[in-house]
Amino acid sequence: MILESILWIFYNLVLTILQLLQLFGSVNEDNGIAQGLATLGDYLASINLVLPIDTIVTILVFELVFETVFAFYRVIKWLYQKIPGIN
Amino acid sequence: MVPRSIYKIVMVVACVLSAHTAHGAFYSTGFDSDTLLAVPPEWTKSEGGINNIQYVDDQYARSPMQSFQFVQTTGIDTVYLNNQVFSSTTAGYFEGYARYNLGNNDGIFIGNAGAADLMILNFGGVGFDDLCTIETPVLNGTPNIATSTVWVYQKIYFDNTTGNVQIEVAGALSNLVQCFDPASVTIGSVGLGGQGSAAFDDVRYVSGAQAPVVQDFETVFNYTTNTRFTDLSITGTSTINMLAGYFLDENEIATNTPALNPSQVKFNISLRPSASQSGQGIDITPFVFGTTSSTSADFSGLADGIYDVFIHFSNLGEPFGGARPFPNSYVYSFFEISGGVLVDSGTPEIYNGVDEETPVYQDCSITQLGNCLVNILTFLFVPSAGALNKFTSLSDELRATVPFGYIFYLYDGLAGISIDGTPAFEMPELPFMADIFTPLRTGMAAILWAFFAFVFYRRLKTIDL
Repeated sequence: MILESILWIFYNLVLTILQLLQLFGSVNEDNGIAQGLATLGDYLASINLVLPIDTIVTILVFELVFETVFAFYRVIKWLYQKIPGIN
Repeated sequence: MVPRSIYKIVMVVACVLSAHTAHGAFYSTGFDSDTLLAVPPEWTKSEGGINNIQYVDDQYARSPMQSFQFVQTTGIDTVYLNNQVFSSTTAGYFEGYARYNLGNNDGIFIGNAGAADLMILNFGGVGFDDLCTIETPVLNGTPNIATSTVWVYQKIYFDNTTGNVQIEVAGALSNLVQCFDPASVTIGSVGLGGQGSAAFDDVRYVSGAQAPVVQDFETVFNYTTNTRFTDLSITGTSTINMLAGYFLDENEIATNTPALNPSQVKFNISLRPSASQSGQGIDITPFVFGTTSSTSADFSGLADGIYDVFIHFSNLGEPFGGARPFPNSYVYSFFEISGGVLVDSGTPEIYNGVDEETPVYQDCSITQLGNCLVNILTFLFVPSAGALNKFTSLSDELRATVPFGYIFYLYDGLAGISIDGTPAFEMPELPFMADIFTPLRTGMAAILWAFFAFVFYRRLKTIDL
């Protein structure tokens, strides 16, 4: 009951915000994002002959994963240190 | 090191994308449910086989169909074209529907060029054979089939240039046909106490040139795990609001022949040991994918007693003797009682890990006070399945909301990028290209890795654990 009430409040809060935002307009399905990124892919395919795109992507993903894990670690550490008596 | 401002931007995008990944599978194929039920421009002809299953239109679209040909129109009483009565003398090539209304002691006759009509089904239990005996060996010996009005729709091609008429046949029973076997019948691991029902929802016919046969009936006895079966013991109430939750896997449904897809969730309830049952089918089209949906039916006028209940998709999930078309989709049931008391309910099947109801309460009595405490805590802190399931719909809302919806598009677009695609511009092919670019590319990769190792080492040195 308690948890369900909290979930209900959270759900309706988010839903209300989303529906209010939808008053400003809906997502245009013909937005060209997919086409634009596909075109980008075509250019990357051209550059890939000289510049190792796969290596760059691998390095970026590795870096993102590392920083993400470290950020979570710092959050957990910060919460842990909020326990009274723990420095 | 990556500048922190850039890192923060990338992290925000990455978090949004990874949050989308949890639901991403449901948006990956671009399946359009509208096209699933759309009227095909023309049926594909075949001489048997089960690959020619098509929908006709939304009104008559509930039955899988097979095509065959013959050159006679005997027995056609009314022909409809676009749902209007159609005159067969109209010139040209047309498509229409011939409607038959078959009642008790009627059969379905399929004409065969150059031969007498062949009766393949008889719904009065007289003649060639009956439906149950044909398709449910477990029910052999059934004396008869309950009377059921049968509507048969035949799609007709009139071609006055050749004088031929091509007919494609579909059948649909207006009610469930019930078969009862005095012997004990088992559905999966659930005993029925000597009673069972066979639902022939979408009757299929296939006809070769000379020997029409019946195949691919679907019954609840095919051990489909899409059927939820349980029993209810009720007293003091005459009405049950029966609910069913169901889940349709987009990737499975989209890759299927449409006629194999479910169009309804069906509720069936039968009082023991009565031979009759009540059933209701609730339309679930257009399909909703990626979330657990629910539907319900009210059953009223119920007497006290124990009821067998089963919930299933209209196509029962599995062709007879064939592979299940959508093993990851499921339907299950839960119940609400209006104005009465649910005395007891049987242990339901647990299908695909989806429990019948959450939270699950323990037996509580004076000798089981611990369970009562558990129940109190469960009531307070365990959310119901309905409360949790609502959150899956938030993903759809998020996708329809600016600007979040565009992030989904961005994710889909990024996921679709491939450097193995067609280059936007081609380098001229020169004989020495490989000698230049291959070592250059390898060297650049080595430099990038070395640079990254250096930057990463410096980053590790500054980490404050």
